[in-house]
Amino acid sequence: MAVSTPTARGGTLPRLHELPPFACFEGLARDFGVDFTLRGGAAARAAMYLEYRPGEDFDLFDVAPFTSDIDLRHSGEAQLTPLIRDAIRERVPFASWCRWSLLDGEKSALEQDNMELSTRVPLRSVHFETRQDTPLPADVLSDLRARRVSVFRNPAFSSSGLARTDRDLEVFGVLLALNTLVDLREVSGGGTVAHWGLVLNWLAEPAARDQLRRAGSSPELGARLWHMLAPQIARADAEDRRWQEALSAFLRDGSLQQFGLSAGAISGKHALSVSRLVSTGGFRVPELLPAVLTGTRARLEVVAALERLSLPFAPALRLDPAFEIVAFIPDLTVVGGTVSEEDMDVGHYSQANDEFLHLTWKSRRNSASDNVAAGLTAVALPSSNRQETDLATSALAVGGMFRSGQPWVRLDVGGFIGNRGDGRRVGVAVLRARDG
Amino acid sequence: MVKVLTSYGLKRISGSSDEHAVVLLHGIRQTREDMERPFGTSFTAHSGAASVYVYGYNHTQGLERNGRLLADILQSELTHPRIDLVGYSMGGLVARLAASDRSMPSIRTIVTLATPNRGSLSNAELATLGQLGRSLFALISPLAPRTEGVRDLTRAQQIMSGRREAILSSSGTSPLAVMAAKRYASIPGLFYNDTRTDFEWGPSVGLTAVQATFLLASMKRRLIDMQKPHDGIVTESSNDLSQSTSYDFTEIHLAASGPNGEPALCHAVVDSCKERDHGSILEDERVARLAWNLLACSDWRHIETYDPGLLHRVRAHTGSSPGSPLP
Repeated sequence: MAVSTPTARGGTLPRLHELPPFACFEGLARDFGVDFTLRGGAAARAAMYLEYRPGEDFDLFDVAPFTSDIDLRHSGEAQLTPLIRDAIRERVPFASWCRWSLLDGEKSALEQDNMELSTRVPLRSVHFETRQDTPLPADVLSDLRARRVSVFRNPAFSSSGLARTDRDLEVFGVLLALNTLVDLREVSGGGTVAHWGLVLNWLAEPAARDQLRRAGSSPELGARLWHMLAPQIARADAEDRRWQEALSAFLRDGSLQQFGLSAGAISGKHALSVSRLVSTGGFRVPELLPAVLTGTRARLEVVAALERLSLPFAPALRLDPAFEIVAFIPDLTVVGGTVSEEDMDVGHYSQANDEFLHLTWKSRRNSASDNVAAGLTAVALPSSNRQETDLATSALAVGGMFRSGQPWVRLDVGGFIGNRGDGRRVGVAVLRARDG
Repeated sequence: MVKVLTSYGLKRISGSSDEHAVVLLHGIRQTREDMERPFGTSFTAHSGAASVYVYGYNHTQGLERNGRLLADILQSELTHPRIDLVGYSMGGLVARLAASDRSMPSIRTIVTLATPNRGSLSNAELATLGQLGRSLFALISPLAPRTEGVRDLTRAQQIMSGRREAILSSSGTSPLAVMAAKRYASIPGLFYNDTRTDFEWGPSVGLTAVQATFLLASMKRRLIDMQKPHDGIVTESSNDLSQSTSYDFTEIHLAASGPNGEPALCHAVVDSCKERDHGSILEDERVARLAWNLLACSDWRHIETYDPGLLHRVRAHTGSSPGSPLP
């Protein structure tokens, strides 16, 4: 299906189902009698692809890489939500490899109310609808064309429902802007924040520092901070002094100390993990800075793990020759126990209820060629219990590569989680499909 | 010792005929060794002197690329005047694309086994395919959703329609020469049929107790929702090459009937298909025997009675052949 750029349509975005990865939504809207709206980071990235890479194919993982959710609203009643969620999983190609946040009409209205009172980042306000083309507001259009991320503080922020219940912090608006910047650079190859000076001054305000200290004592706020900060740490330009200064501001005052992370610990590490907050107040995978082996050492460790997991008197485990081993994360904990509906995703404030582990690490390979990125995937291997090999290896995984050549992997760990709280230990072998 | 295999290309497993070659193709998340045993063993019990090969390819690569590569290899490495292809799952699509890549009169019959011939895999089917563990796939081989091979499974219908268009618009002698004397058959796995309860699982699911605890709910829902009968991944209606819809235009519909009206399309079922799901169909001796019979039987109107050993066990539908015999 041909994709038109917003500029080609005079500053309007096409309908959602005109985007190839979302083509199924025309049928879903018709079948359920609802309209769909795509919002958030996925929508912003899709708009950037249309603007900066016109005519270029992009897939679901391009618009929802690494930790990104797909934020959807539907116009129907709440009881339709599980049915629509099932239909998405049935019909939308590769839906099961992504986190979907799906809000009904009523919750969408509440979310919209909160957004009206939140920090405004015009590029993040982009949305696509199934019902109609979407005109781009003037500030969005001008930012898109200038490759610029504007950020506007909202004087009414403290009156929002999320702020009053201590589920959001105004300073997170800076991270929203920086995440938009990282996307802008990823897709367009360049871009800047409109007013770096104002952003840095904002972070230096006593109120901002107080907010980050509060994040340091609240698992929910701390988890949200990590979810927003990790993609920055993974992708921020190391040569951009102001950017690094902004990131340092988020790490001071012990904002992530509750998870065992100090600013110094992070700066020296080259791998990050992001997973969901669980009811124990930690992350589903608590190792936020895991050791990652690459090269020969990774290959040897994976081979040793397969030997260890092969059952006696049974054919040895074989690695598919279509893949090569690129990295191995030898020992991760997947904390057991399900999360209640009430606690569902408080760390994200979305309705996505999927359990993914996201990993990224610095790679010596500096090529972000499409072939390499497209072939990345992963397989989980039990650290010790060979009886769990089938379970672990059945986990769905997908990967990609940032523009810098840094790889990322998303692994569905939902299958490992039972009602028991004992958890499991797994290694993750990152594989790349051979080209040829 | 863990084996890292690098086995692509042709490997002869039986026979020495210079006249007749049969090439067996594996599916996604497999290698040619997975096609050699047990299916190849059962198949070669019936194939006599025919030279039988297994063919390994990189399933993460695109279908058309793999089809072209196979056509190159068949053309350069096999001199047999008759070549037949038997493809399992994705391998059936690769076989179809190889057979229609260029004019190769030596390629005669293409048998597709549990292949999604007439549709594209949905997310639910892909997720099930990705979650079936080593009980079905002996390899450590995760589904890599961004590879061309997997993406092509979601657009197989368009690829095959595109192949038809390419044949029709080619500027060679006669476009239909590419399809001359070719015929196509399909064999389905039918474990999930109306006689099953929602609590019965196909043999290749073979979940461990741990897997069952966590995976059954979502997998069960998907399997129940699929149009029966099916094999857990592919529905019979998607596999069936003998039927067509008004919107179904692919390269097989250019295949012409034989000079005496021998059908070019056939969907054949042996009774044990009812007990076989997507993975275990390769373990069925009768299915392997039926696959051979489809190659050996020159007129599929007689396939049900072709083999006394399978008498009363085979049912077949032959498709009308829109194409007409070449002069």
